Amino acid sequence: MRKPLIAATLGMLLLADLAQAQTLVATSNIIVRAFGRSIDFTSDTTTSIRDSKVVRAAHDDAASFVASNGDIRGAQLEAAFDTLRERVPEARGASDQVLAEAILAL
Amino acid sequence: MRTWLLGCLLTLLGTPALADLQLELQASGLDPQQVQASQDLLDEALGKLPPRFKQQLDRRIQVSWTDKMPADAYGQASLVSTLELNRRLLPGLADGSAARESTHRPHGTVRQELLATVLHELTHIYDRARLWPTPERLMITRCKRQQGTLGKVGLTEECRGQAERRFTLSDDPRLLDLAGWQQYVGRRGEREQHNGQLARSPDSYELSSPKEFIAVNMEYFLLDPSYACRRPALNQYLRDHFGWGPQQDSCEKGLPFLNAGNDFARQPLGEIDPDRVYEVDYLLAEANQNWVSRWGHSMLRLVICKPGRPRGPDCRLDLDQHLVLSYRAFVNDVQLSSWGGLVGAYPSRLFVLPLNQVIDEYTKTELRSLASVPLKLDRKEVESLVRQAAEIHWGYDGNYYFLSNNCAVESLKLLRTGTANPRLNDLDSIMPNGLLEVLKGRGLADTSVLDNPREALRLGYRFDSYRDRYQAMFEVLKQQLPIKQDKVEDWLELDAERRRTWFAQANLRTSAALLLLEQASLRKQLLLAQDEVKQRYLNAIELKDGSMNKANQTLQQMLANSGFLSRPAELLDAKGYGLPQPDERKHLEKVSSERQAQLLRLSTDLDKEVRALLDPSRAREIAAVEANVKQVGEHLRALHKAAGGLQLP
Repeated sequence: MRKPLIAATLGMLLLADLAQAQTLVATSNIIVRAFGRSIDFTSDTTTSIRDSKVVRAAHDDAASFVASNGDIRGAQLEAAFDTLRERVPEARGASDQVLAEAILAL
Repeated sequence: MRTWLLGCLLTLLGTPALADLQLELQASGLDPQQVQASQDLLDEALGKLPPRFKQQLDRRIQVSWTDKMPADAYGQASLVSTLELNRRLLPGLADGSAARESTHRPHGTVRQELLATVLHELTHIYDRARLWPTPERLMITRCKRQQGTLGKVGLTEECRGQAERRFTLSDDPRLLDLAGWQQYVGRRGEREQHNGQLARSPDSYELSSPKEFIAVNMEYFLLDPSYACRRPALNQYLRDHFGWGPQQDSCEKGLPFLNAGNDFARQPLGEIDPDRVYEVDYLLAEANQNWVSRWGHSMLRLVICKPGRPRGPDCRLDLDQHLVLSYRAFVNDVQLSSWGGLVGAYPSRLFVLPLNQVIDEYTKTELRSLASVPLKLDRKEVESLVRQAAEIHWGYDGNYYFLSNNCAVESLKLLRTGTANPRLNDLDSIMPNGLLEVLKGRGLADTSVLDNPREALRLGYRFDSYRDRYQAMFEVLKQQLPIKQDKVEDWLELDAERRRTWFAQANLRTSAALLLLEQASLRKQLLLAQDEVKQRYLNAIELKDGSMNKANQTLQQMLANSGFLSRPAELLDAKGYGLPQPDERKHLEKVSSERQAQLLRLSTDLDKEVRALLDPSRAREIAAVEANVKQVGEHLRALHKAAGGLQLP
């Protein structure tokens, strides 16, 4: 039989209940997040290469690369190398070491 | 006598003389206007049905109006050949007012509802008539025979779910996958009773059973031109079955999703263009000691090419474009800190996160490594997987989390439903690391990319845990400076001020190592602080002593405002269903940015309020480490400048 059931309120109620139960957990996690954000400084609001997300995300990879003399070479750094060589003329001929240092010094 | 015999013979032969479905109106007791209006309705319904439907269901179905029906019902079909409609609705149909009377449901008016009812009930009859296309019929017969001789255990992958078929459509394993009645893991194809795809349903009646599901979906497939864009996978399924499709709207290319990333300054509503997805990786977070993450965490990574780049291997390094699809794991554990508390509150939903955030959270906060293994899917499978992910993102509200329904199981279901790859059909794995092994075993995952660890790291098939890096950094430090400590843990135990005394004599290489180690120390301090604040918070709630009131208020507001990130459908009103369409997206864009702006404001407040709650000695230590990070950074920049290093514009 086909009946027009107006709303799926039951499902919503169930969820509201669950949400309640999880509030405490979520709350303490938000506290963590509140701290965590202070180290997180990526942004995509500007178009400058210094502030590009790809380059910013490679900062820790760049530090690892420089400290390990090129031994640790992560994908985020590799991606930043590509972006820099594509968009910055003076980066085109530069070595990986030079670029990693430049990213590290941002 | 002879005619009678002939009649019998014809009946026995399955009445081949009748061509096509016929709807016969029982006109007795109706006035001419009512007959005309009823006949128009039936003609229109016949006109909407697929040709195969009418050819295969070649029987006479008697349609009548009856008083014997609950007032809120529209109609009902008998098992084989009669269909009754609610007589209460006949006057409105006859005088034309039914075509104007609104129902506030997706079909719009009472007349459209009546039309939908005829199509809905006819679909029930079609579904019961076992009208399988010939290849399917042969397969079902073969599978029945196979099950008879070998039993369920011996069934081939193709036969799973086919041997006991009784309906044309509603017990088809593929339909059940798409509809949301998924296979239980490890029960040889048995189906779950609960359907979690309850958000964004056009009519919650469809969730009552697979039989109603197919009937309701036929209504929309046949009557709603936007069905193809709202439920692309089901639309394709029905088109394939009937070898035919109705006139439908053309769809927007991009699929909408809400980005649950932690950058509140960004517009959260995004789009995925399936054309730009080069491949899909199985993304596995390695296990750690924590009991909830003992088996790792399964995710899928969409390797999306940056705009303008043609699809190809180069896209693998467009990391800022890549997105991660993650069914969030268990709720009540600190592990969730990584998932951002905001999205952590609601279990078992499909979140979409930026890859870079996922890398940071796992490798730096949780100190777990990630393996990213490309799945061997063809173009069509990749695109339909992405579409299915979008549908699940908007529509799925899985509520509880069982051991049998963890992230690996959810990911497997998504892969199976999304790709319709037969090799996934009878695959049962319950643990994330186990799933990767099985995928590899079936030739669906290419783990050879991990063979060379350096290359894997460089090309983003592996993201290493910072636990190893911190160790490596400490070794550099030990080489370059005469420090006394032998273990990285001991170094990080030192007061921030004591470590600071070494900064001035560090060269560039050593400073880089120091920078990472100071960051490690900061993360460690934050974790300790988090634990302390959490304890204080929970105690204060219990004691009701008011010491946390201000922060608590802000938190509660954030919670109230962040729910939308985990239940995106909440932002839309109840009128639409399935994937949000262009007019709904405009509304979404506006509402989601408003909420996001509010979150940004609240989180800035919270930063201040939470800091005020810290134990003074902890606050001092955090401030000291933050100063260290800053100082190493300045030292680095000075060295870089003095050496004439490259300055980025």
